[in-house]
Amino acid sequence: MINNEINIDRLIIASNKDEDFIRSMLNLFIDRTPGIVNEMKEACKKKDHLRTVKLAHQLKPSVDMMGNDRLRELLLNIYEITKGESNCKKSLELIDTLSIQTNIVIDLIKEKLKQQKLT
Amino acid sequence: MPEKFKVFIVEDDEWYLKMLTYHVDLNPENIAEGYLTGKEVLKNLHRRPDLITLDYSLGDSNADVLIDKIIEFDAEIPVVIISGQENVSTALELLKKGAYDYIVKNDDTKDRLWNIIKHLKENVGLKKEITQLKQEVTRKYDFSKKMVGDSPAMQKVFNLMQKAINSNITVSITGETGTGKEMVAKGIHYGSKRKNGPFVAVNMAAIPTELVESELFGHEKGSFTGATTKRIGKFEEANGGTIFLDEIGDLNLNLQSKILRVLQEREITKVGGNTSNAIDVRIIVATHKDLMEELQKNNFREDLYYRLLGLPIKLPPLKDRGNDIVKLAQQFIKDFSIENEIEPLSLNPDSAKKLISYNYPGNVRELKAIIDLAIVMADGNEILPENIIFTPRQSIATILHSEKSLRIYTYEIIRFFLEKYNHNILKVAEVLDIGKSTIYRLLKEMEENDQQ
Repeated sequence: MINNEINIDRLIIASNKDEDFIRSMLNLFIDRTPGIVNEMKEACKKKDHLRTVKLAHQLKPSVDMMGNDRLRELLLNIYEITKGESNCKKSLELIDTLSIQTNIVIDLIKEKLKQQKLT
Repeated sequence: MPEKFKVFIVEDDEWYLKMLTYHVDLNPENIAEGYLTGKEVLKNLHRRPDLITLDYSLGDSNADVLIDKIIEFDAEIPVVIISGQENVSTALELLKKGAYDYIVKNDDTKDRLWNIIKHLKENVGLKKEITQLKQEVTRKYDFSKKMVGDSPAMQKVFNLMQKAINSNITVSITGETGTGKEMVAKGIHYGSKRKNGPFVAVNMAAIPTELVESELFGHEKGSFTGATTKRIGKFEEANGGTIFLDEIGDLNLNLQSKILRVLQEREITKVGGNTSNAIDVRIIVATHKDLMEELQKNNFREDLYYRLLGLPIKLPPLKDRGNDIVKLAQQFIKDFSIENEIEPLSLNPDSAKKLISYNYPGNVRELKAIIDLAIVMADGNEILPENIIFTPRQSIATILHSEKSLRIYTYEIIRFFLEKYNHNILKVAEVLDIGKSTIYRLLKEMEENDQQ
């Protein structure tokens, strides 16, 4: 299922409608998230569950603020499954999906950033 | 401009670090600094933050390891743990270790952090106020500035006080009422290493006998009728500081043995309690009684006497301090003018002479009362002899207290009545039933005596 919506209302509220700050946070999401997702993939391949869980955990606050339900659900699933250390294959599949969904969300954010006013 | 409240935020998630830093900085009174690793923040501890927030699971170390290192550096720096998980046992463990608070990463984190900062600022303000007050009290009781006296007797007292300040020895102060025993005790405490600890003064004579034990050692709830709550005693209150037991000579034999136990064991047991608590208290005692005499009368335990004797400091009565009386009077004039925000009055030379000639059964306390009254009575900017009013003593024992020669007593009687009748020699001669030539002769003698 493809979810092509983002809702940055929480970020807007948390940022006191500070346009510059919101843009800097969105850009930071674009810059760092793919790298962290790749790192998760590598850690999962090495069966380093602890590192995978930690990285999923690290992504959670920023993903929450992007208001994309699919991305959020995927991350939570990876977190829960990997924490149980039972199904490495399933984790890897989910991380691959997470990577695709991250790119979708990043494209949506880029579109959003083209707007004159975000708030 | 007031110093900003410095917050170090330690968070390995760059996104969340930026978010928190932004929030803390929203208040211009705060300044936030972000750190991605524990190692980095440890390197910067010397810059003394007012608060550190720690992400529970950092890349290079966990909060529990880091908190130990921060506490080891300075236990006064509050540390707040910010965690992605709500784990009660972890939170409790970290709070036990010394964390100030534990908050979970969610939409309320920002508000909770702001509240914590608000409370800490109030605490920092209170702590600064307490430090300032403590410094003020220390200055107030700095005996080198507050206690006046060039007489050999007082110089000896100051010398002994300095020795007491440099050690932790028990001090026993003796002296007539009003000679400044509590002032000496405070001077020793606030000059010593214990100055930041409490100074607790207990007047043994002012506490009803049946309450002394509970007052000194505290009591457990229900230990006696009326003990509705648990209460700590004066010894426990003075822990880390000094306890001043005034009028120790008035303590009954039963309580003397309990005090002796405290001195020997350095621990106290509450009334109705089964366990003992260790205490670290310096003891200063004072009495106007001659304890050796009390010991001989079997009113005071010998073992306690020697335990309490420690460094004995004997305060001389004011009448034996010569010109110190004038110096003290001048100090009291200065104190009064500061307290009442008035220009300090000067002391007329005849007034100084009048002050020296009096015997002060109430000692320094009485001198202060006389000076306060004299300032109030003075009309100009000078204290004149007539402004100095000595309270007439009714008791013959008080009059004869200082054991002077008959000649000196006669001079004092003449002075008293001359003052009373405005130097009307005829009237004084009539009242005392003596000839006026006798008064003239005595006045001449007195003048010669004064010149000597």
